[in-house]
Amino acid sequence: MFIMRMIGVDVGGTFTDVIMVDSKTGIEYVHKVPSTPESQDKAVTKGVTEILEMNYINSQSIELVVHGTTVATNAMLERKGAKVVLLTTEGLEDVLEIGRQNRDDIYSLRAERAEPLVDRTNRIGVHERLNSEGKALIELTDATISSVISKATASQPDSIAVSLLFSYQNQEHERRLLKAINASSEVYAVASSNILPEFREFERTSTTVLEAYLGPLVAGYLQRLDTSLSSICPKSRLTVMQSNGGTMLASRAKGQTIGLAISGLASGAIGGWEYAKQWSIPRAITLDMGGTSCDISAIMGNVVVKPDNEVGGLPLRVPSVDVKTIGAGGGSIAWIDTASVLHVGPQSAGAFPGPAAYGKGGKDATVTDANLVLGRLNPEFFLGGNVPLDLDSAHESISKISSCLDLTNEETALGIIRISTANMVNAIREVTLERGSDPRKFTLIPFGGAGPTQAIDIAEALGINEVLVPPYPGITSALGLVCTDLRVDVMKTVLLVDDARNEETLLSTFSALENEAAERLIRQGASRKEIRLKWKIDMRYVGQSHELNIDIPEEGTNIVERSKSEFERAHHESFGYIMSNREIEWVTARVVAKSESGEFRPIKHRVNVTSEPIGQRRVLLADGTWMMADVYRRWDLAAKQEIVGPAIIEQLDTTTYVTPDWNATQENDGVLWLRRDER
Amino acid sequence: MIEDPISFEVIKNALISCAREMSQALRRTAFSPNIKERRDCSCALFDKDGHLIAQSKDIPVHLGAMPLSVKSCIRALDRNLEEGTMALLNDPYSGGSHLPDLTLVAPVFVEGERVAFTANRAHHADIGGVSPGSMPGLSTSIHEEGVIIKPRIIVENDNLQKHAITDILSGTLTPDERIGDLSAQIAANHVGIARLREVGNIHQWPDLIRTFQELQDYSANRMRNALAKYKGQTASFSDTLDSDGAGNWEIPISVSLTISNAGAIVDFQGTSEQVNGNVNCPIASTLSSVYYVFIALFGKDIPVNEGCWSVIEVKIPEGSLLNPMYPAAVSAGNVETSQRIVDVTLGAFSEIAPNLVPAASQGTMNNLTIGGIDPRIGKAFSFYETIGGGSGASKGNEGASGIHTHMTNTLNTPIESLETEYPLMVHAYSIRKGTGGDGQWRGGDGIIREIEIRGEGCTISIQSERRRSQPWGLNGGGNGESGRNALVYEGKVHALEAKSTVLAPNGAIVRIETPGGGGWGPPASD
Repeated sequence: MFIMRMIGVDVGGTFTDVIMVDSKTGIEYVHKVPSTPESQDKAVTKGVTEILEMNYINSQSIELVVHGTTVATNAMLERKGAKVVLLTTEGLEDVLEIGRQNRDDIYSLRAERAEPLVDRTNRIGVHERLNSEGKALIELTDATISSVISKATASQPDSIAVSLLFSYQNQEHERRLLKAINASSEVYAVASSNILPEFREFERTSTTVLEAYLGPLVAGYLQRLDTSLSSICPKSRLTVMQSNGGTMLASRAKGQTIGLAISGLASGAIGGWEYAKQWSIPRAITLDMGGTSCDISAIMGNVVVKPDNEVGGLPLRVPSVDVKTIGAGGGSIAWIDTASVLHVGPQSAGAFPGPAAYGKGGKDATVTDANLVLGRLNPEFFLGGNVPLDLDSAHESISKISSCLDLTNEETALGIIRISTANMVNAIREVTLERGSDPRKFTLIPFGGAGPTQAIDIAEALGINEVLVPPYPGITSALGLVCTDLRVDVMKTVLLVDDARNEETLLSTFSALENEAAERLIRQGASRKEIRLKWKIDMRYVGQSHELNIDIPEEGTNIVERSKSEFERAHHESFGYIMSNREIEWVTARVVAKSESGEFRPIKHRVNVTSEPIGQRRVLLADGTWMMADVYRRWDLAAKQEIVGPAIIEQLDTTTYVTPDWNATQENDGVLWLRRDER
Repeated sequence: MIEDPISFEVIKNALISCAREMSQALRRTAFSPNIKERRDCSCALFDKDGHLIAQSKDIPVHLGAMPLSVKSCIRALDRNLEEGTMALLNDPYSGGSHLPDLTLVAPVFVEGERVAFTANRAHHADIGGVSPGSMPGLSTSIHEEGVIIKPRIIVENDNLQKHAITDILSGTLTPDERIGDLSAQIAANHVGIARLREVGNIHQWPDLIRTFQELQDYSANRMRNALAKYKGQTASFSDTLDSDGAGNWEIPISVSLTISNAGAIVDFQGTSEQVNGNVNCPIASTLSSVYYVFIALFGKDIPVNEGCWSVIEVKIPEGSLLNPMYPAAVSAGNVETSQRIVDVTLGAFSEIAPNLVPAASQGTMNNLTIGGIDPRIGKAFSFYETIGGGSGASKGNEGASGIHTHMTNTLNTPIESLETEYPLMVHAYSIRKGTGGDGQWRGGDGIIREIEIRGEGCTISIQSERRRSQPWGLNGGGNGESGRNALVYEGKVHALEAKSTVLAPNGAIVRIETPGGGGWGPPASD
């Protein structure tokens, strides 16, 4: 879809980043405002308003705003979602609590489970029962409906989740309950046959409950934002990043808010990977370190979308980009436990009061304070001078810790950086080493406001020799947003066993799904001719309960034969055998519809006069010695200019610290390469 | 000495990934709900001598026992284990545990040399014997428990040889399902072999094979160091099994522990002789239970492989309950007695390291088997599951409710799977409130599960424990409540014994109430 002007807004724990792209001129505008965690939309509207004003852009010309939000993620992590009542088949009220009766770690003697999102008193049994074919063994009577609804609404919940046994076979009971709820109250209500029409009652119920838990908050937030943005940019649509790496229209989020569980995390991996693709890097670790958290993804070949995910101990049966997040950012607070051991994070000073050096009342020492004490940050040019840093306040905050540890402030600051680095290194090890891949074979792509300042510490600890710093590290996630495709996934369970009529049924199912997906994309602003559709079908041998996902090149006939032979090929490839005398089953037909965004255009770094350092600053090296480092401004560097460490490269949205043994090269597409000297 | 710590770590985790992928392949291709839904199966890699080098975190009782299966295949078949072959076994007297657990062992060849093995174990829902499901409540000889398979080759040139399993297929009630599940086991080994070859190609085979040994030495050192803190200490503990289903009650299991410089000695002197009923525990399962305790207490971060156990000496008199002689019945040993072995070993450690050890967990797996003819299709069926209960509290942590503990970690059968595949209907599945032991930290609660039989002439078998005795509390914590079994028919409740096999009429409901876990520390007095 060709869009003249679009805006990407990525909300972090500390800053909200805004990027505006004009695809005609290829010019990008960037901006950053402090986040407003109590109501994320405030910072979003402020950022959008300001970027337009600062650059004299006519707000009428904005056609699309793409948004990455952490509202859902935070609600899950902090357990601050809605108050949910669950209606479920009588006798099975505890399914949600028992889960699958297993423990995560087989050798743990202290197995613990996440508290269920709905406590026992709010799990209400419904007198009804379907059998495995969807036929009613116990009819759902109107009297039952009115009695459970009065019970359910008595506790004044924010939302109601309905999950009945075998509803994926027959939606009727759930549909009648849902209809009655909607007729009698305004409460956010969802049914499992809409949210996840698949067998396995625990997974379906917990996913439905999660939708009810997130829905009122997330859908309400997006509605509010949509209203205020449309008064700023009247011709623009608001889309929001989904966990699966595609976007959807914000106004259609109701009933699909679980799809936004890691909305704000997915775009970083996508934005960082754009640079890896540009440089044909086969393996990259994207590291998005902002003020509050650090989002890490190890990417080999392409961004991976996993079929399920987990956030804060809550399982999610929703496709999600493979990202791991930890509480490590520039604002992470250093603290000492009762045994005099130093820790960093996961608590963050956020944007307010922020690190002690911000001088806004923060007293706790943070990673940013440590970086200032070590000379890595410029007190007059932090975030381009928008946030002046106060060295004395930083020292004061750190001295409280150093006196407990009997260390100097500088030693303590080094310790804070070492621990914060170790936290990120451990997370990277989890996504590489623990999956059997060698981190030394990856390129590190650090971004976010704090990533490039610590990138070499991390690379050194992992044995990585190459680091790619994107042109605007602070807004790389926002860039990921504007590089994202509009995407709609639709599915239908067919459960067909080999039969002559399958060809017809499959063809009509796919064409109905295609129409549905295309309609939904068009409503989001795609034009029909730009829509790309993909057919997939989940298949298995009759009797298995896990399927292989088979791609079918669309169009043409012979779906049955083509999918069968593709299934056999895939089964043989994955498992080493086929069963020629077993029947094959077609389980779920899926269509993925996408409309590609404007392609990623690398910027041009046009400076060709070699830049001299703007000054020098004393930095404390890891071994405790001070050294003078040259200080440069990133946009003054000439294309292909090489800088030898120790050096500091400052820019509006971040500071890159180059240690001795490393050198930096500014490339003419804006990327800054850091490379280690031969070991 | 480890030459290259990073490569060591990469290889270690790559090997664990191989085993994990095997587990995934096994359950993704399996046909019986017990494997595909409940994941009652385990996968691991072994060096050329059958020493465990890496495992998937599946079912503890399987994992510690599999090395004996692999070694027993090597001993019995040796050169016949050629490239492209796989060997099957279940004989508890040659490396097996109980008959439903079929273990499939595959050699891995590189340039004509046998360098490693992959193996997997899966619990088959029926392997013959006197009652459907092959987990009889009342058996007194192994010959009543199903088809005995000594190590034999069933896969040649990568293909299942049906002629090699005719006795299995004619012995079982559900031959189609058996072929499906065996194919899944073959698939798991294929995946393991392929992945291991990839690892070998990336890291060079000689380095990889050297790492097999380094891994074991490393784990042995780590385990020895972890135990060193307690050297010179001794402790002992006793507990009982409720019954053997053949007239013996309160069967004692005793253990004494000695920690020395070299490691630990675990001596089961004082434990009962083998008994008539089926709670005899084959040696592989006994060892597996002891090893589990050491890894759970001291093995945090230690890679689990044969090295961990090389510092533990286990003494078990031949002919005892925990090292029975042929033809003793054993079907409940692996699932029930194993839990009590954990209880007594942990109990002994509670004297040496009181703050590390939790109170007793439910101490049973609550094995429920139902078999007969499915009236919907007129074919035989055999359903097997185990049911979670309360876990024991520990210092600083309440016990968890409705969870599997210690030697098993199988999932529940989704009700939607259970009712689709079998003529059964679940009436209740709930937390058994208030059954965890009282204490400063409370034990977890058990589960109530009620299943209605919707067919004529079905047989129900139960193997359970802690129906008389209670999971003990620690340091002043209260005991968890005992479990209960019953058959409810036409409104009347008929209590069932801990070990039972009964013929149930159409419409009868079997109700299993599982034990709570023990509490830790004295309850607040107010």
